[in-house]
Formats: sequence, structure tokens, C-alpha cells
Amino acid sequence: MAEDLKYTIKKIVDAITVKKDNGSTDAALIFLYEGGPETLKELFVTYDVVTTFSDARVVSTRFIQNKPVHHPETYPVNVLSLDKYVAGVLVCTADKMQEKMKVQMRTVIEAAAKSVGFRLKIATEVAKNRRVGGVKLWKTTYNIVYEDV
Amino acid sequence: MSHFIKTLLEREGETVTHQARSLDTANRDAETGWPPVTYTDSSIKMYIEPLSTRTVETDGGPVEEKRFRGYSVTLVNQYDRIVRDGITFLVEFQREPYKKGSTVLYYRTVLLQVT
Repeated sequence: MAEDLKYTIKKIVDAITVKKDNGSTDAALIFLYEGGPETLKELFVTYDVVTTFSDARVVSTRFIQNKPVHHPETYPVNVLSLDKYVAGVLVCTADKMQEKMKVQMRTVIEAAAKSVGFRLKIATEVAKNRRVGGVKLWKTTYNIVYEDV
Repeated sequence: MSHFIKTLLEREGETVTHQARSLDTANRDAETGWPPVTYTDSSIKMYIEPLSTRTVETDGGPVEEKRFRGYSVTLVNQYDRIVRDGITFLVEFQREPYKKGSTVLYYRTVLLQVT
């Protein structure tokens, strides 16, 4: 059975490491499919950045006339961060973690852009920051396009 | 009134099965990243009364959402389950406990019927 393409992308992305605000301590990152049993606040007790993988949106195209239909799939990857305090001290600033993750996301996806059997690229990056449940939740969605070759 | 409810629960409350949820975050699934969910059963006393009903239309047909209010002297946490007479309820929302001074008299929860 073919591998879930979310998992293919997850394996590429979960190699990412970033540092906390102090620039020396590794941030605790978690990469998981959207829709798990944990609440957001439960995840942020342990982790500094939460990255979730959503199901694809597919727009089938006919690349060249008379060629088979292609099915490029767009997978949203959501990077979530918030202002995280430990003992009253701000250790991870939401905005700063988003910037660090942006650099790493672009690096790993570009490195995997021409993989065996498929192509990947970040089509769009959409930031949506909001205050919810008493926390400042910063989110960037990376819409990653996967196409078989 | 509050003491009356506490006494009522202890003497007359129904015996239901409380399924306490726990997440094994040390053993996350390699693909999804989700922790396994397990439930531990115990018997508690709870008084359950109807709260609201609404019907949600989905692509696969209507889904009825029946909510109930549960009173218990035992703490139940959000996302735990309560089983009564073969019917399973999800603990959807846990309200602040009813206290007298610093003593908790009883807990109130909102339950959502799932079966």
C-alpha cells in the first residue's frame, strides 16, 4: 500500500531543529497529523513549536495535451507557536520562532525539491495570527505541493 | 441547598462507570505523532439530567447532539467518558466545582451523548 503522502512530507520536515530565544538551547518541537487527541494547550506544556499536517487539496490538471492527467496535491503544513514562559521568563517568542521555522522549512523543502519519484515545493506561506483562549497563537501555513514524476 | 445535593449524590446518585482518559505521550505513533489513548474504569455516583438537544446536518445525514448536566462528588476531567446503562457520554466541559469555603461539595460537568 502506498505511503500516505502526509507522512512522506512529515518525514522530510521533522528533521528541522531550531533554538529558543537564547540562541543556544534546542527548542522542543513536535510534528503530528492534525486532529490528534491532545488539546493545543496540552501540547504547548511540553513543546515550544507545534507543527501539524493536514489533508491535501487536489486540483487535477492535464499537463500537456494528450498526456495523462496529473494530480498535484497541496498539503497544508501548519507551524504554530506562542509566547512561552518558564518560571515567569519568556523563553520562546511566538514571532521569533515563526521566523526560525520559516528559514528551516524553506531549507528542508528546497533540499527535497527533486526527490526520487516526486517533486515538492512551497507554493504559498500564509500567516494567521490570533489571540484565542487567553494566548497569543501565531500560525503560518505552508502549502506544499507534491507531484509525482 | 448545596449540602442537600451532596448528600443526595452520595446516597441516591446513580452508579455509573467513569472512564478516566490518559495519553501515553512517551509512545507516540511514528506516523501520526499522536499518543495512544487509554481509559481506566471506575464506578462513581453521578446524577445526570437533560440539558439541550440540537440536530446538525452533515453530508452523511443528520446528527443529533444531546447534552446533559452531570453532578458528582468525584472529579471527572474533560474528555473522560461516562457510561450509564450502556450509553456512553463524553465529558465535554467541566465547570468550576461547587464549593463551600475551600471544601468542594460537588462537581458539575456537561456531558455529550456519543452512543
